[in-house]
Amino acid sequence: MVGGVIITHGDLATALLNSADAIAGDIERVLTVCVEGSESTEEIAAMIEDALSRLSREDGIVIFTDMFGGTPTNIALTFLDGSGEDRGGVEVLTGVNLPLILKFLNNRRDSDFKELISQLTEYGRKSIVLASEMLKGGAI
Amino acid sequence: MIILTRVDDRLVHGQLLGAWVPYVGAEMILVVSDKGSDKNFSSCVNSVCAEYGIRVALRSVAEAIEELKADAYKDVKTILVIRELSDAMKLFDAGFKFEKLNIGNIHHKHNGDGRELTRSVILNTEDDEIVEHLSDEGVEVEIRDLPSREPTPYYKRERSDSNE
Repeated sequence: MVGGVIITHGDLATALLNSADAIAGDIERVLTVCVEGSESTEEIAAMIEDALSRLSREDGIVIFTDMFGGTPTNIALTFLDGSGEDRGGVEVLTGVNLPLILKFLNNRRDSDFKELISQLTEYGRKSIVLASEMLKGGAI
Repeated sequence: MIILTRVDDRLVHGQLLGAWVPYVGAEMILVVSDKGSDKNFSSCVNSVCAEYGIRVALRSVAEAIEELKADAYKDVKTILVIRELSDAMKLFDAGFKFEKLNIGNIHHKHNGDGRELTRSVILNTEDDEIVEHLSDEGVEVEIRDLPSREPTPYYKRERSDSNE
């Protein structure tokens, strides 16, 4: 089963995972890394390394980070292996949000890694909705 | 024109892009580091900066010294981000006489002599010597992670600290 690591500034990662657990459950093999201002880049890298070592690269690991350009993402990027293997590997998805984590939990058993990544990328982009516009567009 | 000189071991990250760049109206970030940067990181920093509409360049200390001497950034509002305080000192000694130095992130806690001025500024003895030296030279050293926060005052290391 594909594993996940959520890496964010502060406690957001833990809070997201707790919320996902409350809604969907089944959060096994999803780990969190909360990055604090007091940690050096080496310490952050070691925490990520530790999380990855507890999951299977062969099954695939999705690293979810909060924002493109932030420290959690910057350091996560150094773990991209770029192996181009058919199976497994490590991918980084930025801009994590709750719908994205829920989708991950629901789909990760049934899709292969590459397919899962493209589903998640597309889904994450669509998960922000201007409600008034949607309601105007098509009343059910 | 260098509009902000900052020591930050996280280099280009959220605080810089989200707060300092808009605060000072920067058009460019010049990263100075002698420690090789990860390839994925460098290419991503390029894309991030493109996203924010800002140019970025990575230089070694020696390259930066040459460019600053030649005033290569005089027409571009540039933030200088230096990985280490000791690198900032080298730039200063080589003739780049900044009047103000912002300290954002330094995490020197591993050699046993690190002391925590703020959660993200942990200075070792060498860093303290550099800060004191720069202050003696008239540089205003400011410990401040974000423009929206008050600077944290620097205070000298008590000599007994170094024996702890």
